[in-house]
Amino acid sequence: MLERSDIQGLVLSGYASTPRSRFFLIRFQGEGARPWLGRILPRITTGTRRERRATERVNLGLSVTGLRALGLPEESLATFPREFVQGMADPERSRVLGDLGVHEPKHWDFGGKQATRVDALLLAYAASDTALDELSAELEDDFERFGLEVREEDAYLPADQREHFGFRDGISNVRVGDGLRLRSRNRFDPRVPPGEFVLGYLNAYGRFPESPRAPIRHGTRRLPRLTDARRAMDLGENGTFLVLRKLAQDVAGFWRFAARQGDELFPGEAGAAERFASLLVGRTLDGVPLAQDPDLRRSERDLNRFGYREGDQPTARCPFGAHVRRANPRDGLGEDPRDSLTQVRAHRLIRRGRLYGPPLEQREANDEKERGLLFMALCANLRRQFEFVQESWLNDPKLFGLTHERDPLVGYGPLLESADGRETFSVQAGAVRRRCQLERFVTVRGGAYLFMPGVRGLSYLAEP
Amino acid sequence: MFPVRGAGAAALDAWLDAHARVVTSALRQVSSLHFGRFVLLPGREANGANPHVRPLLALESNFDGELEPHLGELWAAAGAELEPMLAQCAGWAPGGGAAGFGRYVRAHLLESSAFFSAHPGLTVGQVQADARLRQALGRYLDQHGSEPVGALEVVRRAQTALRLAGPGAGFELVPVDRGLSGRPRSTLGVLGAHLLALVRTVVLAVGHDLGELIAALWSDTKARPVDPALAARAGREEAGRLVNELTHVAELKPGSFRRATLRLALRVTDELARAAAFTGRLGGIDSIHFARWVLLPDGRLVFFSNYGGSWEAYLGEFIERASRALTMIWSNTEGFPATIAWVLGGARDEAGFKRWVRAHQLPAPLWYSAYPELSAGEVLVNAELRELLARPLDETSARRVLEVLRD
Repeated sequence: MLERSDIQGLVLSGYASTPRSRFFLIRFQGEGARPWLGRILPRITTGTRRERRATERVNLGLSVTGLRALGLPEESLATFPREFVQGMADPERSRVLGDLGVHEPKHWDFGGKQATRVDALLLAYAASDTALDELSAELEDDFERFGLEVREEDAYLPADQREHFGFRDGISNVRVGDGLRLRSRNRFDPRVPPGEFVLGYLNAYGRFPESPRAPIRHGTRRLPRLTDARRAMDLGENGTFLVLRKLAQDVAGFWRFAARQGDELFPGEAGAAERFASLLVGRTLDGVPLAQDPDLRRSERDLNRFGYREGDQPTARCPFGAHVRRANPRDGLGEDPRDSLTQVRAHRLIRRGRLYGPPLEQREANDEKERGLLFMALCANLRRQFEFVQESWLNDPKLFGLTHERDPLVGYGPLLESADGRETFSVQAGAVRRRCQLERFVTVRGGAYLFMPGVRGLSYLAEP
Repeated sequence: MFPVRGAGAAALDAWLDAHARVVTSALRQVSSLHFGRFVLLPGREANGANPHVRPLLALESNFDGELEPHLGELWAAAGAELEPMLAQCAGWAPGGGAAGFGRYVRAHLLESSAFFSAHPGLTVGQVQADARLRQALGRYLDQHGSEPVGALEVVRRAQTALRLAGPGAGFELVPVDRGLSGRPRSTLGVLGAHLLALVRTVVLAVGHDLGELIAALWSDTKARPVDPALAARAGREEAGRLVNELTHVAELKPGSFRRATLRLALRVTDELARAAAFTGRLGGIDSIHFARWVLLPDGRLVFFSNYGGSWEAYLGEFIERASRALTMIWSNTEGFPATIAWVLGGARDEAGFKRWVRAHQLPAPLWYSAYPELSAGEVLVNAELRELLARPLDETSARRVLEVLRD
């Protein structure tokens, strides 16, 4: 059973009842970090059922620089995974993630340089804008009092569940199997064991995830359990890794491009732009999966009840390179659908992203405002989950028998020789595949790897 | 495997780092070379029961045709660059030219105990020509694919156009005999054939080293910690590469029984790998171009692999698709995750297995790939396209052409 009272609430809930939010990107200064953490500690929202009805919520993640500023010794930092210690902006991570060219960390709004580094990420959620302002005011008082430098990013859950390009989003978020509820009635969406997202529980391989250690401390608060034959404390227990990425979207550009390509692919048809855009995504604007039988009379639930194999005969209803297909291949990896579903379980992410910037009023009319997605994902293993999905699915030119294409929305990397000098997206709906010119409308504008400890872990870090 | 002179190891290390670029670019002229690497396997001072182990300079080469002409080509292309490196090796006589190099290599040649190739019978030139063919086919279909003439006719026209264009564009529509005749043995057949050997190994063990046999039923040896500098180097080199190398050195557990079970495991794997060459996938893993295990006389087991995609994905496939076979081999070596009766557990310990592989991995400072952007699956599909287009087309083969050409 999950120890809900020690797990930060964001792991177990998307906080739909508090759709307004402000993310505080904090840089610790001087000696203020630890006392501030002690001060904020009682406010941290946990995953207990009682807090499901909360009207405001606060969660906290810490980066490697933040942990260091809090006085965690190097020997302990060395027990964190390599990619976390390097940080998302490390050049090696950039090559793994495809953060090259315009996406390079040196151009980022935050997290890319020493001056904009993220030591801590404080997430504040409220039901309304006024409530959020009140909550922020209280939090900001503390920032000032403890001398922390802060950058704010506002984010929200749209009422219509549509992201900026206009697609319904979040339909297939992971379901965590807790206790006895490990079986799923939807075979295309098997429940994922909790250890894939929370340290201290069994993962998809039936093992306990690797968990960071800390030297034993004594204090007044409840501290992490002892481990390694009582020689260290399990700092990771009930914690999770948090991936933050700011992805700017050029909505007007995207729809102008879709209109051009749509005209070429479906000349004279009404809704050609939407049709083309759906091919890139793999779902219609309303979220209907292209892989599904178009004549199916579907309920809400069916939007997530599908695989890819069935829809590939005689020709692929959903393009192989479509975004949702790459991000979650379901039964479509390798030769055997059941193997594929098992394999996919080890590479899932809990997505907790929210939008920033106002929706674009008129689809193709650029209003010069910034907008996009503050992507957030939770996982127990950054390398095997987040980075794997990015590197080996979204950004792998060789996935599914393709040779030179990457994810049409968020993929990026050097052009391959076989690409013939241009970036393309192929549609395999007819007898002969159609290779369309591809342009890019999503840019990485910031990011960080953080660790969200359990409450006892945070208490440990707050102890002097 | 060239033995390194007394104090040559440090010099070699530095030399390899400094000259990797020059040598790999020289290797581009070696038309018979698919993948090649030089890597230094460090030695070990004698301590307690462990005897002294000499450092070795390993040259791994996956090449076309016979050894002799391949070595000749290697020497012609990179001999001048290689000479100072070989000068650090024991028994090397400078100034021997290509003939001297050939003699030296043959004197230190070790056959692999198990070997896999996803695309045997396809030469480097063929692989590259097939890639050009696919590109030309793609371009043709971009221009003419939407003509309303039906699938068969579209492909026929493409065939005609490619036949004309091919010789000028560096490819030809001709079938290639890859030497894959007969029928591959089934996994069960291979295992069955070696059942007797297994029984014999076990019976002998009962007679001679019962203790070792019992120890092997549940084995868990202390793992070596990952060297952060080596892991960092491997991580840096692998990041962003589409085709990668893995060099891995493990030490055999003590005792003759372990040697016997390892040999048996390698023999079985070798036969399974031969059968797997028919499909291009080894135990369900389709990302490997070439892989081999070499058992050194000093008791070290070296694994060389050239694979497509990331290390993380490759290791994931190991764990999900081939954990039994890999455990059967590597459970005979030190530090491998806890294993029950040779095949259970072991590589199924995801984190432990990955840590163990990293701890024993030696990133090759000098590694060459003749086609750094092609996956093994792609090589096979490109070859299939050529085979289909080299013959008279019918509805089925034309559809197959269009089906496998996904982008």
